[in-house]
Amino acid sequence: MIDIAQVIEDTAAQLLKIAATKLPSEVKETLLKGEEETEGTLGKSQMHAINENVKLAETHSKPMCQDTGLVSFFIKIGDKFPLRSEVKTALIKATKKATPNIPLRPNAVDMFKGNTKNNVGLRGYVPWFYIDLVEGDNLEIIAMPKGGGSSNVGKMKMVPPGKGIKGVKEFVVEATAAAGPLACPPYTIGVGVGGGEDMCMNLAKKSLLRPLYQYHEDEKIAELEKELVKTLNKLEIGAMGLGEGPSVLDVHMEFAARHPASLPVGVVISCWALRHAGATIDKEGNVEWHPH
Amino acid sequence: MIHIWKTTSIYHKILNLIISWELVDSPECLWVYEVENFGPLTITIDIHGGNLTEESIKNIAKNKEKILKEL
Ligand code: SF4
Repeated sequence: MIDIAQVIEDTAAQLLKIAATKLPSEVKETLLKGEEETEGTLGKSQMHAINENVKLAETHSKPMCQDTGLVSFFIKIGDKFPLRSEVKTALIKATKKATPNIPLRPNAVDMFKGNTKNNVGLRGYVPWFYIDLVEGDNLEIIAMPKGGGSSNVGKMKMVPPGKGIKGVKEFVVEATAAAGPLACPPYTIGVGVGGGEDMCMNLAKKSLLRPLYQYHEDEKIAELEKELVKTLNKLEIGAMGLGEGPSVLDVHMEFAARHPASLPVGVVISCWALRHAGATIDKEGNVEWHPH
Repeated sequence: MIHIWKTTSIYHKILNLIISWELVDSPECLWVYEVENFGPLTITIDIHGGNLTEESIKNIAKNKEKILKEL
């Protein structure tokens, strides 16, 4: 009998490794194209450094950045998948194991007891789980470690609803401008609109998982995403914030219904190191790795 | 816990890279490098008070105002 909990643990540990050491292929391609198209030696040198770094990390199977992020998992549990809460236990174990093995920087700090040294919080919230219940008999796991630097520039605003879509765009411009050179651009911008003050941030983060250049299925939202890519690049943040080269690689938006009296907008910003990796495990314990 | 990596990196060849995260008892890390062929690097400040990051921030603020007007 295959020990499914063990399969989950090993798969998740491997996903953390893939995420830390290897960028999704479309991100790699976009960064290479960015280097090619950058005019100006300052910007080009930054893009070149990023691309060299990405290449070396992959070749040596070592983290592409010293900040290996705060660990979160997006999981979809199928109705007929044999495990439930044990999935969480396995993912926590995987995080502990992956920390010295990859290695990941110990990034879980308790406010009162200090660094836990294993990327697992003492109070049950880290790694953070985004759990969805779905039909079928599979378990989907996506590991997303997010760096502190780019998390520090995330922003939420309750925009006056009367301002409508224009208010949303204004806030996205303001948030990206405020991030400026601070969080290792070129950025990918995730925007969540609607829900409540917390949900918009969740949606914004989730939207970063959508592959680059895969726009929203709703034509109206897709147009908005493309328009914002153009608009935000006019900020001229540039590679590593020095004014030359790409500022923003892509913008992804997700919309939820909103309360009539509110228009919450969340902006979650990823640095060039847009890291995530996924796999699907079936009820027999077979693992299918997502294209990366 | 001390990890010793033999690897190469962006601008320079790193012969031995020792990371001792545990020594400093914080999420920050301490890197000890032995390097050859160091550079070229981009220096963003000079002795005349020049600061590329500050300049970039000013330029971004100016562009932001323009964009918000045109939205
Ligand atoms: S913002 Fe991203 S690339 Fe920069 S230090 Fe943080 S994780 Fe690394």
